[in-house]
Amino acid sequence: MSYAYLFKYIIIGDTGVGKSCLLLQFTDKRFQPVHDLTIGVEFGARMITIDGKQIKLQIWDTAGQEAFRSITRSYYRGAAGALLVYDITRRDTFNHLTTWLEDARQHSNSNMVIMLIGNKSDLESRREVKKEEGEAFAREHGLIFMETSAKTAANVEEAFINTAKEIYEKIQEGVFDINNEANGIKIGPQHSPTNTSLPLSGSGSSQGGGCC
Amino acid sequence: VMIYLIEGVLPKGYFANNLRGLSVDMAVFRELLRLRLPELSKHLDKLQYEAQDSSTGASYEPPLINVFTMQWFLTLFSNCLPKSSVLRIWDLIFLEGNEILLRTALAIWDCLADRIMSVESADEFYSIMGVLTREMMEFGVTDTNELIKTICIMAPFPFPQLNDLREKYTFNIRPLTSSFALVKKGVQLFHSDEEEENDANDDQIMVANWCITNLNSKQKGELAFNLIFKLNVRLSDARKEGGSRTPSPSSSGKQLPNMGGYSNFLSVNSIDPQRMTLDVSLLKKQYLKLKERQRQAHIILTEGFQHGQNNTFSKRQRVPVNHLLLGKTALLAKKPKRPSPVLQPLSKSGCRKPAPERSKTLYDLKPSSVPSSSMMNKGEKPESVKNETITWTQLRLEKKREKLIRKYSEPNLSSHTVSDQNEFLEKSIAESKAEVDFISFPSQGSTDDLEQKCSMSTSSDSSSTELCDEVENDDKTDTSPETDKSFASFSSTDGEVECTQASMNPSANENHSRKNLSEHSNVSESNEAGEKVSENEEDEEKYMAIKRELSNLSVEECIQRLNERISTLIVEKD
Repeated sequence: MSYAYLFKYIIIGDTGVGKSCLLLQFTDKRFQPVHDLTIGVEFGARMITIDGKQIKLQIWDTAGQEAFRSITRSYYRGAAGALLVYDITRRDTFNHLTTWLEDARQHSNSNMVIMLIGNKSDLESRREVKKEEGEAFAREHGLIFMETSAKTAANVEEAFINTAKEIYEKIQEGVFDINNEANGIKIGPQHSPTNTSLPLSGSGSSQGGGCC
Repeated sequence: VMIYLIEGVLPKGYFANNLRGLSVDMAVFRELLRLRLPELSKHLDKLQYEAQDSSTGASYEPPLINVFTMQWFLTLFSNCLPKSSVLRIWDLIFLEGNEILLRTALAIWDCLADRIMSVESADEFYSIMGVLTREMMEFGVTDTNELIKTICIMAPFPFPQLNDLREKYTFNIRPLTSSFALVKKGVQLFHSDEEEENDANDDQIMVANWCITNLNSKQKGELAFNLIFKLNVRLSDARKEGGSRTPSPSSSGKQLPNMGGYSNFLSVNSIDPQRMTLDVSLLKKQYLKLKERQRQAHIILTEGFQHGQNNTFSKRQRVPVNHLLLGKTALLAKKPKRPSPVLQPLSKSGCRKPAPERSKTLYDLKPSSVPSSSMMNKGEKPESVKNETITWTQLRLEKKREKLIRKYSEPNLSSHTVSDQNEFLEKSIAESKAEVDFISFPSQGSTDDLEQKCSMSTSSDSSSTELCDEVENDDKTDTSPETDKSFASFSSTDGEVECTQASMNPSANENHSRKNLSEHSNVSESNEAGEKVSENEEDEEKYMAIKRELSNLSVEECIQRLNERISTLIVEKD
């Protein structure tokens, strides 16, 4: 599958916040209610289209458990975007955001676009973290913010695509050096943009997905 | 089964300690892949490095296969192969041990190699692997029987070089992001490494702080000196191992026999953070080993307890171990590193240490909390381990009599038995004591130090206690300076004994030859004797006398005496 750019993403956050579910929803449009622990890292990929350009997202879904931290850290580097996920029904996952953010900033390149995601927005009744709090946190740390639900798929596409747009804009502005793959961006095998007239709404073929 | 699997079968730290064991095994596996499937490995490396070349070497891709091997190893293949294959592989794991993991992974990659060779980028590799793993889950890589066969015949058991590799990576790999060190030697390391260095520094400083805290609670002067001195010796040790990579400030590490040591230590610390990381990992490994030995020692102790009189263990506390260490540090620092012979139940010294009564120089090293916990141990030990101990003893005796060279070396066996007992030990005693001991241990000496210390203390134990028996009624008295001196020479003799034997068994960790078997038995047998003797309140004076005597003996004589002693013991026991 040809693409103009390849963006590397990484999904981070406490265990059980729904990182893998977000990925599954995005790549396979499925939701799995059972909590299967991610072992180390898993990956998924999907094509999206932004500004008429095919962009391949290569998404690394990391294990949230502390024990895997040292292993997952090596995947931070070389990511263009990060989805920092917390669970709106668990306040502690929100409280740990600073730690995650520090970790991510430390181990990745400075230009990485970080999107803050409050997941499980379908569980409004059990909400513990207000949307405003998430917004405030994001503003404070210069992140993009969204609330999503991997279950209902609300905002999932948008989260991934908005991040991609942000990265794309940064490329246009020249913030990212696209020749430097350490930024998590790779130019596709064919440089000339293919005659893409596909709708913007992520119609690309989904491939990959968790590997188990 | 779970406990057996984790404690007895899988390598250490597979699921704990930030998955260090796993990191080591992944590194080992990459090495094996390089040896066994050079083409695939080269291809993968190319894919991995492609990303870097195009980006003036600043990019970074973790080793490609890591994602998969990690999952395979951690789940023992249950998430990548169909059930029928998985069960067969598990059988093999239980039968042949953890090397099956590596073998299986090799076999799988071998099967996948053809298709992987066709991919042209890391990205494609991951895509295709996504497909392949799903296929594998459904249909398996190949016929199950075929797979098992490949696994078994790919190399003789045990897998050649495996132990060496594991050793190598255990000592070389850095606990955090092991792949960094391997992939990006040199240039690109810098900014990411600063953080790691910080981590390492934190660890070290924590250790240092810990030491200092303890000094505050106990005798300040000597303790501080000892700790710092050792830390520095350890540093210089590590640096020597590391070759000439860093301009060695080891001299500064050695100029420390004064109280200015601490600041000096800190400066050394900041000079060489990279090596420190290594040290941390060494310490961790040592910690695990110590734990193991501690358990063995519990058993041995109990054994002796039953065998001898019911005196308190505290009578056995002896100073010499510590003197030994002190006397030897400088010398030890010069010795090359060698794989630690697991066989020595080092913790004998650990058990002895807590004694506050005899406290001379080195007892000060013990944090104040130790005595209480060790007292507790003394009380509980006998009951809790009793049953297991008997079988263990018999097993060992039998082995000794037969003098068989077995596929399963004794340490393996013992570690199995030990792991069977984990529940008891852990729940009752081992933990409290072990923890205190271990924490203090690794922070005191270098790996070398520790190993030397343990081997020496055990061997000195055995030989000297043996002699103790012979000169039981001897009433010599000594002044302590003399004593120390004689002990120093004595210990060097013993150190040589140890070294000789260790060198005969380069892969001492898992492949013990007959010699080691008997040696091990020697040690424990004589330990029993030693307990008897010391429980009879045979004491230091006599002990020293023996030591002097021993220092005049040649290595061979020592060994011979040991053997004699053992045969007597066997007879007695029968």
